[in-house]
Amino acid sequence: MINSSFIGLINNAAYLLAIVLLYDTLANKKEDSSLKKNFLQGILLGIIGIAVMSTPWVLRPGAIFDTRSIVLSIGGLFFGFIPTATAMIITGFFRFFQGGIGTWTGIYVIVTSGVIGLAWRKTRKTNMADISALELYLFGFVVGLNMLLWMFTFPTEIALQILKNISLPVMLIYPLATLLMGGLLKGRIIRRQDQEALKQSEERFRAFYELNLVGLAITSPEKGWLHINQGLCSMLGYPEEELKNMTWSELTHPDDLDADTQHFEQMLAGRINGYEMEKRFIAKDGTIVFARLVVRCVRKERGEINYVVAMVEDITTAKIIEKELIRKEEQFRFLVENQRELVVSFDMEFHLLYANPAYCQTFGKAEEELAKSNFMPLIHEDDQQRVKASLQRLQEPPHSARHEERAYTVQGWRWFDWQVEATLDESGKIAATVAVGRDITVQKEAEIALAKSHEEWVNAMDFFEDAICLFDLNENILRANRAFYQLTNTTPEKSIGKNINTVLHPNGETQTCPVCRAWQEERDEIIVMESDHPDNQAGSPIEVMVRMIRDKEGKPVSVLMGIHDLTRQRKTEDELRSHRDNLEHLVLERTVEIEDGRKALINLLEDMTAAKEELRQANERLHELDRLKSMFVACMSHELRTPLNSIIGFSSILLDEWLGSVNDEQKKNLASILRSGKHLLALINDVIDISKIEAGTIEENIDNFDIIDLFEEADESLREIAESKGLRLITKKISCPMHTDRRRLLQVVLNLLSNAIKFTHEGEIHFSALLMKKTETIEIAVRDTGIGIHEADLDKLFMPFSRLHDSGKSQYPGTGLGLYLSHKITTDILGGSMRAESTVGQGSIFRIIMPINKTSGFSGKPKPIRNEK
Amino acid sequence: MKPQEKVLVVEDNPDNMRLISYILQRNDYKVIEAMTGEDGVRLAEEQMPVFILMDIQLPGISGIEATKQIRASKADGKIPIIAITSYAQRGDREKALEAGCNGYFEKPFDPLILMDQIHEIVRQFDNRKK
Repeated sequence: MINSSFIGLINNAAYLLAIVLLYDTLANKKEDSSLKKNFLQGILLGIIGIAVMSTPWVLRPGAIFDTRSIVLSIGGLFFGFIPTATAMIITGFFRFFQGGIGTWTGIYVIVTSGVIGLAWRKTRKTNMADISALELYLFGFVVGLNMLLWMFTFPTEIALQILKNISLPVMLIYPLATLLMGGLLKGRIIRRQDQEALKQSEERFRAFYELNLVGLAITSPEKGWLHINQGLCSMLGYPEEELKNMTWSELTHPDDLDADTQHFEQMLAGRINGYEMEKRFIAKDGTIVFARLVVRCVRKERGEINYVVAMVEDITTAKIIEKELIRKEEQFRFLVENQRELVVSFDMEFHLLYANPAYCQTFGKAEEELAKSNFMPLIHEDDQQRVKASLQRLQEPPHSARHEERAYTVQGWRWFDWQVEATLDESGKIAATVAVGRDITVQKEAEIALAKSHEEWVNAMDFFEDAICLFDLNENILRANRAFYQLTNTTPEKSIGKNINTVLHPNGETQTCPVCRAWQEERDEIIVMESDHPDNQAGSPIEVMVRMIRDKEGKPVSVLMGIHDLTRQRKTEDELRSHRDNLEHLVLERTVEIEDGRKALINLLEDMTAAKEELRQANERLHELDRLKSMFVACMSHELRTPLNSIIGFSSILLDEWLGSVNDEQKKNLASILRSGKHLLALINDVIDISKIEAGTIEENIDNFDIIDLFEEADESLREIAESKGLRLITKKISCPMHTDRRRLLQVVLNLLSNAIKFTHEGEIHFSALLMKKTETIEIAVRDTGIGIHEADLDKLFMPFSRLHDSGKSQYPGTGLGLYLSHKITTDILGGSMRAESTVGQGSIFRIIMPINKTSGFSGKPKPIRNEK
Repeated sequence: MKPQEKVLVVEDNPDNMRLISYILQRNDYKVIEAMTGEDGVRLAEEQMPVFILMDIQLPGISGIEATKQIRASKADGKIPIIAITSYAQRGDREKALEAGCNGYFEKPFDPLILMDQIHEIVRQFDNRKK
């Protein structure tokens, strides 16, 4: 029994599957959810149901078993309500038609199977294509179970028997058959879905392809171009037919060809399945087309390329724009980076967002340091308030600000001019600020210097007493000094910028003013006039200078006017005039006096001339006299001396017994001759000396000697003689360097000493000298204890030929000229003085006072070589 | 006993000549006499005396002139010339020295000391020559 149940059921199932398979292959590929279609489907299902019901396996009469529940349940599950309902009706009717005891059971089974299927379809949410094998099996199980349950519509006994028979086969086969049928249908659905998807995709692709948004080409390694879309053709400028004849390489820009080829070969080699690159194509007209290329290959089973799909997107425009953008950016960057001007961007808290290289260099900071740093501390204290106020102005339209500030740079404090622009965002707040700064230190310093120089100018101008005013060709006052304001009784505020005429002529008389005419006619002029300004003393004299200030070409640019008050000058002129008149009067008086004086002088002069002539003649006579005198002296000297030579000479050698011996008597006589001869010689010498002294022709022989030697010499000469008279000769020697005529001094000293000896009969002769350093003089004194001199005779003492005593009394010759000569020599040659004091009967003192250094009274003569000691 | 040295005396006054000769002969000198300046010049060159006594006041060429000529001759520098002057006028001394005299003495002279004076001058001259 069981076997047959199995076989019967298997048969049925197989039958069902075959039909379904047939259905599947024949059935419409297109899924159509139209009503008609559903009905048709339903009918078909119904027919299949009938078909399987027609080959049932009959267990008992009336118990017909077939796989109709599978048909219906699957129908319900896969096809939906209408087909299932239709099938249910058809199969229902057929079962009814079949009849038997299990008819209603059979119908119930039909209906419930369909319902289960529908219910199952409804509850499951996902696509039928996803139905799993397990689910189908389970479904089949449930459906089978359902059918078995309906057996209980039979009387119980029968039911159990049936169940005993069919349970196992049903539960084994139904699920399986369901599974298989479901599987088939699922497969169909999947296939259909795939087909649909493929179709759709193909559709989409085609649409895409034909839309020509991009260039598309499909090639195969063997067959070359398979498809080329219009997009590619128009992109490259070739008609499709022509393009199909070209190679990929021909179309590629030579510089990109290598890369492209490399990629392609890698793809051919199987290493990659596709590549992307940007490359250039050459269009038909030779223009370059920038393109983004995407290539993919589709391989066959063993890895060979089936075909290659290339997508080409024209990015020329984009590229051009890109290039332009890059270029512009570079330009902009270059500008900003290379600016000497400072460019910064900052936020409203004064933090820097961007600073260009110029800024970084100026403040000596690297870009990283400056980013986000606060720039306010760099600004000079005194300027910070102003800068902040300026930046506040950015909040209001036109959202720009400009200010000057001092900032501390690497080169110290410098002035900057900042122009700041702000851009607002949508909410009206400041989105970004850009500021451009320029170093205006030089200009600023020039400004400051100018202001200073202007001040200096003002100070200088104010220094002048004269009023100075500078005005332009429109007669508007540009500048004036303090003197000007005082003169015209105005102030800078009231006059600068105003017309000069309003200041000079407040009462309005400009017509006759020569000064105004001068500058109107552009003449340089100096005008002396009387001031007609109401604020000056009426008629006070002034000198007005008008000078046109001209540019390099000589065109007048402005007018300089100077007003000089002549009042003082006038006063001085008047004074001078009166002085002059005075003077003239005086001069006149004097001239008369002078004229008289002149006349007197002329007379005097004439007298003088006459006198001069007399004098000249007298002088000549004197000279003649002098000459004669000198001749006389010379003559006398020679003539008188020559015989004396014989007298003295011969008597001397005779007395000395050179020519034989002499007796005493002869000696006495010879001695007498010799003595007389020497006396005569002394006399002659004295006379000659005196005459020379008188004539002033005496010679002076200055020596350097020590007075001590002279003392010794004098002492030596006269000691014997003194002692032979019984007199003591006391010589007090002192040492003193002398610079005077030694010979003459000796002569005088000897003269004084010999006089002293002559006129002293007993006692002593004191011979001394006294040095007076302060006056550089020496006093030589000769004191005797002789007979003395009467006071009355003292006056005549130094006169010539004043002999006071009978020469016969003395043993030694006295010429009578001795003292006269000594005195003369002392005063004239030695430059000193001689004095005598005396007391009759007691003695005399003779003093010579003379300078130690005698300055020569004669013109320098060479010192002769002497043979005397 | 040394040989007699020659001394030239130029003097026009015979008395003076005789006086001077006495002094010189007494001192073992041989006296060569010249009465004029010209003779003096000639004899100076011829005789080459050890010294010459030259009177300044001479007829013909003066003693000054004669001295100059002798100095210009080959006797220059070798013979001391001593002038005899009257010491009358200013400049006599200087003129004599300028002309080339090496010393002088005045008339009248003391015969007893004359020789010593002459020797002094000659000695000085010899020292200078060395």
